[in-house]
Amino acid sequence: MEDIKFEGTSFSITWVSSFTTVSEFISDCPPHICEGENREKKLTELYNMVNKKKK
Amino acid sequence: MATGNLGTDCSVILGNTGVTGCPYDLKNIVGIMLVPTGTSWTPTQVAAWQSTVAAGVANNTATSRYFPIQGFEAVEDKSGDAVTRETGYRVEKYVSNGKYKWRLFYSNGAMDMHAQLSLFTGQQDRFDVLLIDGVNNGFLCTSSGATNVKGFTLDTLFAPNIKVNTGAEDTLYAIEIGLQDESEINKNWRFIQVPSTINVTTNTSFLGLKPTRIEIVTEMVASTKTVVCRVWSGSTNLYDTYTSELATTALWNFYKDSTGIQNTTASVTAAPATKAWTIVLTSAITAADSFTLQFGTVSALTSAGILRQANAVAQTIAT
Repeated sequence: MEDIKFEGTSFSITWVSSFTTVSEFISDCPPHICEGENREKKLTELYNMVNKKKK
Repeated sequence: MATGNLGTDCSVILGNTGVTGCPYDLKNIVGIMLVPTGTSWTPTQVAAWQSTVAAGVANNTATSRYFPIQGFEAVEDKSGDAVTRETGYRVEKYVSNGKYKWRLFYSNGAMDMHAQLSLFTGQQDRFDVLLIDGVNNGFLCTSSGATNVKGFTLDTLFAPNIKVNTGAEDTLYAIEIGLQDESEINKNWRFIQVPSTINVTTNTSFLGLKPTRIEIVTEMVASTKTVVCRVWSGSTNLYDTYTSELATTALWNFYKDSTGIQNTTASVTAAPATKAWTIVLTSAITAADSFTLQFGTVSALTSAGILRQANAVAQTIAT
């Protein structure tokens, strides 16, 4: 299982790419991940990065 | 194979007494290697001894693993004397040979090593043992059939209580081994010589895995699917050494105890303030669900860059 490192966290690429929409991904992410300002923006960036990588 | 002789075949029981050109002379036992009982090696495996041992030490299955214990600094020979009896006419008759037994002292690893070796106490039936000769740079073992070699059969394996520091003497740590069959060493010894360029006492292929212990800092939280853990090796928190490497989802494998099904890991986040790891799982969790965390395997740890570290198991129950 491959990981992607982002903002101090290692994410399973399989997991991130398993979400159909970015909003589903953001709502499933526990609050400690990318917490603080611009959380949604950061998680969106990660989601797009992973899905771009998968293509 | 039976020969059909009625009685002992005297032609096969004597040796020859000329001195050989380059006899093996056992020197200091600086280490031992415990291997699963019955493990034997072919000439091909012996020829690639460094690789053979490295693979055995790093075996993902602990019950199949080899356990080198290195760095002995002294030995107390506790072998028994031969058993004899005196006849009525004062003739001393030999009954049987004594048994080999040694208490081997070490200081490397101290209490951490003592705790690990104590786990082997009484496990003599699960292991055979090879002696590591530091001067001759090789492993002393015994024959197995016509072509193979194996470790010596154990009948004693235990870690005695430590002798505490007296002010004049350091704390003494030891492990004690006894061989079941002295003929394995007296008559059927074999020596696996390792090339002098590869030091059997320091080359990492011949060193044991470091112990790993998982501390559950915060039990699994069902609502967030998170659990917080620390990774210890003895009394060392591995956070500082392997901050980047431990942040690998493939190392953290959670299995629901009631079903045995894996709940795969979604993410791993370092928590510098507590030197711990927050791990998030992917699938829904219900409070009171019990999970076994299998940290590793050894090969997954190696792939992540964490070398010579054992796998570990822990349990967490969701709140």
